[in-house]
Amino acid sequence: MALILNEENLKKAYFEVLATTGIGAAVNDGDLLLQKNVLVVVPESMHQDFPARLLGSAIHILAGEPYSWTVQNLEPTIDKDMTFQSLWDEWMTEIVMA
Amino acid sequence: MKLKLILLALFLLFGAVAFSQTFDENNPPVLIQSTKVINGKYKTIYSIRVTFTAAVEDSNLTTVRNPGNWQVWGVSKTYSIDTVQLSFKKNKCNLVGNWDIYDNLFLRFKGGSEKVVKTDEATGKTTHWGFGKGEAFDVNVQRLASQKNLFAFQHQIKVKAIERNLTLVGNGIWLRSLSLDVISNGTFASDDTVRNGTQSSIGLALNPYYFAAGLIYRSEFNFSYQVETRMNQAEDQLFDVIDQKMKLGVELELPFTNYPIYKLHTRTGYARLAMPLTIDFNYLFGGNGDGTFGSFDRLDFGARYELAFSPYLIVQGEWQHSKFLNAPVGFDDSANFYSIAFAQDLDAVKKTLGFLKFVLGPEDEMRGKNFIFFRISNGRKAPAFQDVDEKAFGFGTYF
Repeated sequence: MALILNEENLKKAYFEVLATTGIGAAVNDGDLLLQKNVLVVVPESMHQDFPARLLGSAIHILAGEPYSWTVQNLEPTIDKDMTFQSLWDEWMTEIVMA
Repeated sequence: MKLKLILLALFLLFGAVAFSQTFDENNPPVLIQSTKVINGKYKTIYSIRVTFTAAVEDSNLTTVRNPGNWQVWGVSKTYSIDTVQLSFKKNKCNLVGNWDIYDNLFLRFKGGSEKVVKTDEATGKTTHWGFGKGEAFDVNVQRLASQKNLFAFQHQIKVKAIERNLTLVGNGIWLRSLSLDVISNGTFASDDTVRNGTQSSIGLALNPYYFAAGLIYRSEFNFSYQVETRMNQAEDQLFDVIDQKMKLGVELELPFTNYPIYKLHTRTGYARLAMPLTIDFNYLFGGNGDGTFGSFDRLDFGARYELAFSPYLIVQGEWQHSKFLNAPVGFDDSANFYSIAFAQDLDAVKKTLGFLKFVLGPEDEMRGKNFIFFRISNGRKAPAFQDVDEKAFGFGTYF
């Protein structure tokens, strides 16, 4: 049975997705994580497959137990302005269906 | 279409690539190059150094000094010797000429001994150089280091010309994409004594990712056509094609190997991907059969590791082993290479060097894109398989 898709559950899943990519800072406390300047910039220029890792992690986490949500196959766009907040606003909240 | 470009500039320290100077009586090192200042500019001088076991007697000086008494020839042509330089102590001489240093060279002294000696510069080895006791003299040859300021540009370009997203998930494996990749990696150097050469390929790549211990890991399987080049300074060629082969490759990130750094990042809040140990196997199918590198099957095995402790200290290591599988007896059929680099994200030093913001852009744009590094590397690896010992500092940027 799929978990209810609400902000609390989605945010919990979001941090699991970020942690699965190996970005260490992403497992910090959620509120701190979403402050600008803490989040800035994943070194995407050095690790170009970060969007792929994010999408793969999202499918792996969100489509599996306990969430069991449907995930749209859309990679996030990573640019110099990206923060974990903008990633949440523009990608995480857009790809999940339940 | 996705494009990835990494550019590094390396400035080699100590003004030289320090060639191995180890002397083995049974297998001494070979020729080769020195420099001379002519009209205020460095000019590369190619020479063979001959070391006599005793000073040349005065009665033999004229014979030794006569270029006509020496003969150097390669596989397909004979080279002329311009001059014979004799040392003050008369126990060494340099045979100066303009030969292809990648040719297999043979030397004959006609002034009392007719013994032929072969040098095999391409493999970095030589046959025994002794003319034998009881003859006119014994000789050995020695490789000379160049004395120049050297620099190089290293690049990594990857273009995904066509990419098909597969998105198949099952049993902890995510089959992400099948793509047609155009890749070019390599180094352009100011001198062919510096490690140089390019590897360019076009081929199909399959990218599965897999999950282990709560983290995602990347892998790649590719089949491509690869062309390798190196600098041929003797013939003034920047891209001398030395190998063309089909290549079968596998690249794997090893689970758990990034876990300590990942945990460190969780404590420090350093938002950087904790890279796992990455290994790769590449099998290159033999080519044209002309007896050069390109004619043999080759197996390349490599490993890379990065420990990003903080923006102030990023340590990167690389090890590479190559094996020519069907090379004939006498061919130096294996090579090893390692390098270790200590890098700093330039973003970390922007407070000290504030002008960098004007050069490299605002702070947020700098982060994770511009690095300075010091790198130590040693050994031989594809494509050129030069035996070099380099210490370099440089600047790296990513587009």
